[in-house]
Amino acid sequence: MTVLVLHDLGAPDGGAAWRAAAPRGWVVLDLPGHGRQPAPRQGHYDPMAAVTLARWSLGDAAPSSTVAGVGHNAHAALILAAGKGCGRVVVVDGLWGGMPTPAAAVAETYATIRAVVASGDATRPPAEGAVDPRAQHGYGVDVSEAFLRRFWGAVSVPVLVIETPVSATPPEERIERTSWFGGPTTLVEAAASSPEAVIEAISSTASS
Amino acid sequence: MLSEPDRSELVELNRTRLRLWCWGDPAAPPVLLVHGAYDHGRMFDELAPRVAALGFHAVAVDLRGHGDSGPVDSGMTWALHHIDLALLVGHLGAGPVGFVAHSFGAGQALGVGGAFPELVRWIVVLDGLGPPASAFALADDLGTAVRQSFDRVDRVLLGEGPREWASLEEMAARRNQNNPRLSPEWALHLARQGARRGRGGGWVWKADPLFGLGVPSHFDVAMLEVEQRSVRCPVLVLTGSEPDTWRDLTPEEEAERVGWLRARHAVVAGTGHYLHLEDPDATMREIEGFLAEVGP
Repeated sequence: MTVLVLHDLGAPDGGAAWRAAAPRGWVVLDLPGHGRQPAPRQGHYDPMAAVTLARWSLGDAAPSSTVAGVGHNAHAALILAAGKGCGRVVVVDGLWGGMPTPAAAVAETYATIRAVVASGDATRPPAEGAVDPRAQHGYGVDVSEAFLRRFWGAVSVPVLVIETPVSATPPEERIERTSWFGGPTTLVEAAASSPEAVIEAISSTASS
Repeated sequence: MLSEPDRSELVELNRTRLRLWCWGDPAAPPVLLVHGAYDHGRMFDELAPRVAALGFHAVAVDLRGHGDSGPVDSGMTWALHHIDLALLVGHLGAGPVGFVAHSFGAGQALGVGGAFPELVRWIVVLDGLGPPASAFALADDLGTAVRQSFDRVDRVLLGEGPREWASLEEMAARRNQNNPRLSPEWALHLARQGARRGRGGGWVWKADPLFGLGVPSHFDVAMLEVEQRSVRCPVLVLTGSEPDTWRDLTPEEEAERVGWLRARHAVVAGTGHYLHLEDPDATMREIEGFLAEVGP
């Protein structure tokens, strides 16, 4: 069974640490603007790029594959899963933090775009060989509880949720949010956030 | 009477290039004219010189993914255009600007007004208060909708390229089908300025086919209300009186949103969504009256 990993947006080494830790046969992409991949031509980061690269990488193996999305790219992995683009999905620290009010969501969006405009590095062409500073500003995806309940409810493939010590999700809300997925779901609390610890959680769950 | 721009330029900012069409004295206070989705800056060929004649530097922009400006990396570009426009105001270098903006472009101007209040003096909204509440609802069958978006992305990125048309007149006729209130002359002008030669020798629309292809994300009327209430500059909302393809809001929704913006609202009688093309005289009278109140 193919396992494909989508590293977090803004990960300093792209997929390198995951590749070093991954068992033989796993696929770990460097996403645009990370590792050896050039930044998006027009500088805009969108989860659809990760989704599209994953779809094209998996090809006919998609129905039997596991796709793991880390941090921001948990959303990308779940888009893929909602579209039946994988047979199983792993959500690593991807249950989101506090659910913002509409006012807080708009304020956060405006703060982000003001930060991009204020940062010359995020709007100038990126230097080669370094993580694109624009990627540090996130995808700009807005969520709400109602939206996540609908969107995650459309994910009918098995879901493995891995929460690590760096998760932004309040511990008391993790079990509740895990119930929003449409498919059978398992929640694992990993002792560390390292690729090794997450890969161990994925491997042990797959074999159990 | 359509007028060629006095000048045009391409500016590099935010990792793309933007085409600007300019009328009037470059040292005069700038007014940015922003078109709607799938249109381009040359839709202001009639209105922009009239705005310039009021003593402004009228600058109509082709948003990225449109006209002669750079392409898009994805369709999820709403906030990205805000960044482009904020940097463009900085590029113009004359402090805060006025906006005259149509449809999607008006949403952009209002977003810039909310996010960067220090950059915006006033906004004229040409039928651009946003879609009705029902348009924000997620698809009933979300899985199918997501798979369809995958297919559309593949067609754009892996397909044979955009449809090629035999002539500009054919494109104009199609445009007129979509926007039956446009005069044939305007439809042809929008096609002529909005098309380029394709690889097969025919004509293709300049608008990037990736524009508008998005992924599931949350947005609703509650967030729109917050955005519109956050606009603090003077706003004039102009709407048409006639129903057409793109005028979806009920009168109640329209009035509610005008209230959120604390805006002055006027109806340009006998027009539809493209009110500034259908009746530029009446549109300019309303703009002049508004500017007489709020100043340049």
